[in-house]
Amino acid sequence: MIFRLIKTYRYLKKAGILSMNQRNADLVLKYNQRKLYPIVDDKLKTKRLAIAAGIAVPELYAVIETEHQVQELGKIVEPYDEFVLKPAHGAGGEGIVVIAGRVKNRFRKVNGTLVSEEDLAYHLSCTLSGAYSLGGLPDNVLIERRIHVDPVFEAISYEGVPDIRVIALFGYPVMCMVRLPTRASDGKANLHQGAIGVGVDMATGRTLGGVWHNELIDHHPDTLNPIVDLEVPYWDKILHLAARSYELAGLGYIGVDIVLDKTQGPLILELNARPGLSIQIANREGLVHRCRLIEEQHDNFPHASVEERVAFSRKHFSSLDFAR
Amino acid sequence: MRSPKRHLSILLISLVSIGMIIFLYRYFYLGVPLRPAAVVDSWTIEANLKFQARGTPIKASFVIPNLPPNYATLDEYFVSHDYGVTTSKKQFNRETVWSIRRASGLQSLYYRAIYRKTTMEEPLIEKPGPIYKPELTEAQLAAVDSITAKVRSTSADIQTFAQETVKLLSRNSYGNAKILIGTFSTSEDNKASANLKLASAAVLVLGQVNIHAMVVQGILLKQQNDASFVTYLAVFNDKEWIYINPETGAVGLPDNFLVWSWQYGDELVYTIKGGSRPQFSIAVSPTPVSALSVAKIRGTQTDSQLIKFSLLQLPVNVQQTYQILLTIPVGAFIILLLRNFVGLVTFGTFMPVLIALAFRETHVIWGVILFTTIVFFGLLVRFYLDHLRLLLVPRLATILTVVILLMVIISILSVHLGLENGLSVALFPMVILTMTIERMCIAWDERGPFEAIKSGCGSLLAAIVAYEVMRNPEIEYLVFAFPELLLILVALILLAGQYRGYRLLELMRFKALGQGTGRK
Repeated sequence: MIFRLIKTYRYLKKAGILSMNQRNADLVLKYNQRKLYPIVDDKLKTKRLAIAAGIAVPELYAVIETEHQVQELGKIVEPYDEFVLKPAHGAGGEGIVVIAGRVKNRFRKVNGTLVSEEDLAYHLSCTLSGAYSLGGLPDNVLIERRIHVDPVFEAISYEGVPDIRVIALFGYPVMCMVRLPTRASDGKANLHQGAIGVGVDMATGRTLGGVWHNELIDHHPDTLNPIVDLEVPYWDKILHLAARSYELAGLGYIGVDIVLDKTQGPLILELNARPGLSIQIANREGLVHRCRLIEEQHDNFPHASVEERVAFSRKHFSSLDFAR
Repeated sequence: MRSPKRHLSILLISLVSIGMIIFLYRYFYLGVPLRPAAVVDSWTIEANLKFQARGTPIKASFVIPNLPPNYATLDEYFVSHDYGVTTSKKQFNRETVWSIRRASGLQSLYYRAIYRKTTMEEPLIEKPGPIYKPELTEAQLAAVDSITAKVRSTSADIQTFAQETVKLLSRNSYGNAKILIGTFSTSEDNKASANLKLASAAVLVLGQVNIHAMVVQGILLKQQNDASFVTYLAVFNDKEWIYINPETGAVGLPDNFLVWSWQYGDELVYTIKGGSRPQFSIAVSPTPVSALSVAKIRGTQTDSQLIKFSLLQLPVNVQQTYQILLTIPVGAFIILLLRNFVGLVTFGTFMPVLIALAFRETHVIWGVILFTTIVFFGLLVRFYLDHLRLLLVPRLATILTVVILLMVIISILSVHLGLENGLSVALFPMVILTMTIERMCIAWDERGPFEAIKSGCGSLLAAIVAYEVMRNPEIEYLVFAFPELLLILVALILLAGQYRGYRLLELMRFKALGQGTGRK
């Protein structure tokens, strides 16, 4: 038993799998200054900075900051049939409500259930008083344009919006995965909630293989469509977006969540200062070696341009060399 | 991926060394014991001087031990009616002087002290006093000359010279010895006084040949109501004192010998002016003293501020609080191990430590039952409150109130059922319980019942482990008696914080990456 654990330990170490302890100490604590956290923890701030920098994000309809505005919710969302309510400080996709249309004076959520305006108002009040924010601090709610999933992903996702998680170190894209919602994840794109993670080859943008509940899979469990060897559209644009978020937030090590809209292409959804480790399982590869390489490159060329960084990543981090 | 290693190692080394130095100092020098139940050999000695007074001013005094070798004073006090008491140094001894203007009838003066055995031999009289050379009569001088001439031929050094002298003097038929021993006229005629006379005579002889010699009187520490003095001859060999048994000529003091007085002749250890029919007696009884109180007394006796800085000097109830508080860092360390090395998920970082503190009163099984019950009912209420659409703060306030009501109900029910353990539920930190319920509920909603229960069980498991370590009496005692050990604990925590490797549960998590795929 112990011998097998030691063997696994050695194997993971050799494969350069990043551990939670190492991520916290050697990447997050070291490269992410605490004072910059509000930029990524507050989705409103992220969005405003992104808009100012000309980075594509989902259109912001309104911000709800007070109980008074909650009362006027009906008036605020009147022009829009579809919209998304999102807590500014929410974590892990919690507290997000996606409204896909109206039925008489009720709102239809993406999963088909109808909610009344009071239901939404209660949800907003809870959010404002901090039910979904870290530490229960008072929060704001963003009302955004709803994303329409790109057809490439429509076949391999169940409700919800699949997103593309790119991890970037000093603006160099390190690793990427596509997160596909499933019936089990209730339309959410978080792996621990039951979404599928699909690794993506950095050089070509082709999907490698999926992981679902820590098990490897090749087909979507709900739609049964294959998820391997698909081409992620706008691949170069996605990498550029991820690379530019370094200048946006100033954080060294971040996870960039990008969605593909049918009409608008890749949009940055949010940034994460403590991206999780599951991406390694989805890609079946460790982060440590890639991060070391980037640290070295960053030391040598601290002012590399976005193009140079993207080119570096595409050149060095191709998984297909080792694949199959 | 480098880290400030150098800085950290300096910090670690200094923390550990400061902690160790204080710890060793207090352990070896102050004798703070390592185990709570350690008992130190100690003896209560009661010296009693009785005499008749006739209404005149009285001044009585007797010699009391002064830094005897192998033993240390724990406590001493003087008991008497209305007497003024002073202690002062007199030659090599301490003397206590009792005085009163007027007294009549039977007087009784007590000196009571507790002595404990120490491992170190503190030097008593480092330098010998002047050599004792009283004026001798011609007969005495002739006797001394004859003895020294005899002894010199059969001895090699100061020690053997003294031993031979004692042997010669103890020979009853030897005339010269009788002359010298006859000088000392102690009234009693028993073995003890014979030894005293013999030793005094030896001091006389050795003084004539310029050897430092003294009579040492003391008592043997064993249960006895009327201890009599035992006499030894002490000879200084230019380096240290050698003790010779005047009866046998053997060298060395017995282990249980408490040195009482140093003298040149057969003087009494007490003197009385104004009283008559004095009686001096010493009683000895064993008194086991807990090692911790010994350390406490030692602490008060020293002047050093560092040593005085001890929790033992605090009021007792405050001490008890600290006894518990000081185990919290140990619990925190356990949580660190469980989270960073095992990868256990808990609600809140140190919530398990607080739950573990509550377990101290309830004990594990009851603690777990009570905790689960309260959280279970609390969760039911929380799910019900969901329907009322309450805002965060009123919701938390409601849960808090419900938690307290639940605690009341459990206490009352358990009294009726005759289960006393149920009463201790009041010691659960209710705010912590409330937050646990709230967080568990949110986790339930958002991550599903499985994750919520997993975290709940993780918290409980961590609390149990932390409790088992924290309530260990030896650990509790160690951090209390040696708070400086916490510095070493800090160093350990810092060191453990350097761990960048995988957590035990991560090994399971990344298993899919390992052997299974066969890639790479």
